[in-house]
Amino acid sequence: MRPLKILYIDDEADIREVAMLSLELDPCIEVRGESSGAAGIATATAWLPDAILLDVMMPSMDGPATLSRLRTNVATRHIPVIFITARAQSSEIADFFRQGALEVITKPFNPMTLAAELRRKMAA
Amino acid sequence: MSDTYETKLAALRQRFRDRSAADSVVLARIVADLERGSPTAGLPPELRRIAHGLAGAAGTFGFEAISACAAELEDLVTEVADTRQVALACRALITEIRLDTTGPQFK
Repeated sequence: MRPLKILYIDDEADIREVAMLSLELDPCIEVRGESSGAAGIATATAWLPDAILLDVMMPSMDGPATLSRLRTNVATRHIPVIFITARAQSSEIADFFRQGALEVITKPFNPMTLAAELRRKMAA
Repeated sequence: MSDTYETKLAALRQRFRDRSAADSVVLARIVADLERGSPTAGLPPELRRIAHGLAGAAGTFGFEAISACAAELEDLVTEVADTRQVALACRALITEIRLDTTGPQFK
């Protein structure tokens, strides 16, 4: 069975690395990480992941701006995007869905259950 | 759980601990600046960056109290609260960092 390709975009190295480490616990997940929206778009375009986990608050190009660029790119417009955010007020979450996010995962997340949570969100 | 995972996670937790300690030094400097300055003076941009980073990362590494204090500070910074309130929240966060990352509960 082909592994699920997940791209994790977050400028916070601590979070990105623990998330990637945790996702790799699932033998059926292949994960790559990027530290900026621009680098994430480039990798998404070339690698075509099955889903993108995208941090909301990043310098220069934030999560919503990155999602907007992904949606205007023919190669990446169909890729489900799940926002990762430490600020999860209900009005903000509603905005994320309006912008086209598939789901939202809140920080802090439990590294031990991240892969299962991701699969649950993708199946929802 | 594999030894490799546990080893890598422990290394990341240690790195987070070091980073928190470094952040607490910057926070202490910001508090000193805030307490010297006008209550309506602007807040340094690095304050929000630190608060946001700790709010998201600390809980993931098991430091829930740091995460909660950092989230409260981030809210205050976002709302452009009175600098005296911000300084108090910074002090609370510094205390939690010292307790949580140097105390006996750190594994």
